[in-house]
Amino acid sequence: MDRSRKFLFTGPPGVGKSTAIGVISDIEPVATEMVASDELAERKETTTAALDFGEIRLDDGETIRLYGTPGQRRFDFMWKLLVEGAMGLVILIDNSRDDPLGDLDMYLQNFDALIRDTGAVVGVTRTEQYPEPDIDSYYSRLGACDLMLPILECDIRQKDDVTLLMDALMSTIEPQSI
Amino acid sequence: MLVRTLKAINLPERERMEIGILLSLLGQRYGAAWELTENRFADVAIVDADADAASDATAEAHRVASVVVTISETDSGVPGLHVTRPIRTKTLTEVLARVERESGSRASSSQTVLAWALKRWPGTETLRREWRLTRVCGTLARGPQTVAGIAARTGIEDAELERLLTLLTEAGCAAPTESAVRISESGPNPPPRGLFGRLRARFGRAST
Repeated sequence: MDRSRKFLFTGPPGVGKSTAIGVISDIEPVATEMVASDELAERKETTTAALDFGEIRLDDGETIRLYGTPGQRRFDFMWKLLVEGAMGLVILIDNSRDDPLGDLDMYLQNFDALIRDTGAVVGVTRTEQYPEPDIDSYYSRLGACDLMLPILECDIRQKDDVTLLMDALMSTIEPQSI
Repeated sequence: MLVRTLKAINLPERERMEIGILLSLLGQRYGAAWELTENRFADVAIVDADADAASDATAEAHRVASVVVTISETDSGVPGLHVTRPIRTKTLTEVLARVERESGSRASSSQTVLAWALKRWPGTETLRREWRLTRVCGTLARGPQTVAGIAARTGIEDAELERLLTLLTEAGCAAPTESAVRISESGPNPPPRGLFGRLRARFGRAST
């Protein structure tokens, strides 16, 4: 797959990866969903079992593909497949979960090679209702990994917030590509 | 030739003019490349340690320059680089030569100029208002950069860049760094174009 044409969205179940892709995709997002059967069922009725897929079509016909990883860790074999050829990663973290900093650690660890080879941005959701942990705590975690990634509070239902995440992501990738 | 800049923070106008004249003389006599600047940031700031609110002025000096020189009637008890009043060509030359020497030893064979380091990214609200900051921060996230280096990589014009750096500095997101190593400015990357430029245009976030 062409390395320069794919972005990846990851994050825990229910964080809104499908929604984020949907608000910037030019096509009706393709989602392979199934009925949630675990603790997630309290949050949402369905969850992504394989992947989400969307596209941004530029004026010259060029296409940017957007992939959302399955959120649950038992599907992590899919993560390794989806990483192939990705040129950047959007990590979405749900601040209402029990251990959002632990979630961040887990994604940093699993996508470490992609993050260091390309770039990443962290979007933290639901911070208005759940202000803790605060953004400084997230920066501390990144600092421990020697990473200087943008961390943005966001509402992924808002197109402006998703485009801001994408803009920040591209800014971290820029010099070595495209 | 690398031109270094000196900013007078809270000096009387007369002394500010004297320093400008002395720097001009240094250039004519010895080929030293220093100039007095009114810009927000400089390589060296000189601050009046005898003035009222000297500590505020010194704090400001540290925000806008990587090297701070104090000036006062006497040099007793004043740490760091210092010039005693009245300012003499010899004294000023010695201090500036020391700045050049010390920055030269830090940077080895590289030229040294003031650079900025990213401490953290600004918050979402700030980036919503000042979306060009994403470009500046993305550049700084790879390591300290000079103003010229940032301008070359982002395509942002000088005055706007200075405003954005001031904003970042005051928000505690960036700071001048003493290890001001010029980073590969011999071949700067062009402003972003191509795929990302088109994608940004699509998002309504064109680079300039």
